Amino acid sequence: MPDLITHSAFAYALTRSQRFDRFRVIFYLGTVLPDVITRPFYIINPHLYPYTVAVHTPLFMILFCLLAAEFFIEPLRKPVRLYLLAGVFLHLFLDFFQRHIESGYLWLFPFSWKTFEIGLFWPETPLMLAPLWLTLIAAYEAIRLLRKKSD
Amino acid sequence: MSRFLRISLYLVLLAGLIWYGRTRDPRVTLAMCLAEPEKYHGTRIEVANETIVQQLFNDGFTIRYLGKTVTVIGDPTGLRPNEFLSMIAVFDRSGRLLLEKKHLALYRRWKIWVSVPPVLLFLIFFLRRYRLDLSTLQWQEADRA
Ligand SMILES: [Zn+2]
Repeated sequence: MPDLITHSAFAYALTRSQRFDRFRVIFYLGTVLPDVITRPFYIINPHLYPYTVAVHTPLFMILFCLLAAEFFIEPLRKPVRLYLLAGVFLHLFLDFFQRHIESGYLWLFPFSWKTFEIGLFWPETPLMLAPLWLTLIAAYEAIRLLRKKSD
Repeated sequence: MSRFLRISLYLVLLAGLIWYGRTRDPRVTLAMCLAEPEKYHGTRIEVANETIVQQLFNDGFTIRYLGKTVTVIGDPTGLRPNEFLSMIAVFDRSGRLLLEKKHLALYRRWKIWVSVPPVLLFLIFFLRRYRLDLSTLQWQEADRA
């Protein structure tokens, strides 16, 4: 996984349209979800790793989003499903560009144990660009605030 | 289908996937090799899972893997103690590994820590925007509640 600042920065850039206003935070949560429900467990206790093998996979994440949407009132379930899944797939899309020493993510789990990835960068590499993303976001927000004040 | 049934169905499917991933993974791990060294002698494996470099020597190094110290024979160039490592190695019945290739995840600790604030921020955004109705266990928008 790239760090979650990188994931979040991409989510931020893609959701500048006002159409996202109502459910933007759901999209943001989707974009960090695959890592949030796997990494903490095995970082804190590496013995738990085998239990997380299934979790960072498209099928598991789809089912998890469907489950999460059930905990919203009926009229919100459809948009929550949609925005959460869109966030998750943006996350998985970025992960697809990473490289690992050998086996990467199990995109076709549980139907296949084959792994494939573009292999453009090591998981730690995008961290170098995190300060740049944060600066760009801060600049964009500052301009937006100034424009709002002058209106 | 009722909400209760849908939730139950999703939970069963998710648990099934976790169980399948836990029990049917065909990849041989270092833990399996260490448990049955004769059986896995000569097996080429990937070692990662929070593995940390311990000590460096001229012709090898030791790693900390799931609470155990394991000796690796191979070039330690570029390694640093206490950093995360992933590698491909061949397991020897003596319990040692013969290194094929390695990757030092030098900034992994930083990556973990900088990943925490975005999650906290999104949770704050979420809790400001949504309210949980405890009687039905359903979130609704705070400004429309
Ligand atoms: Zn990820």
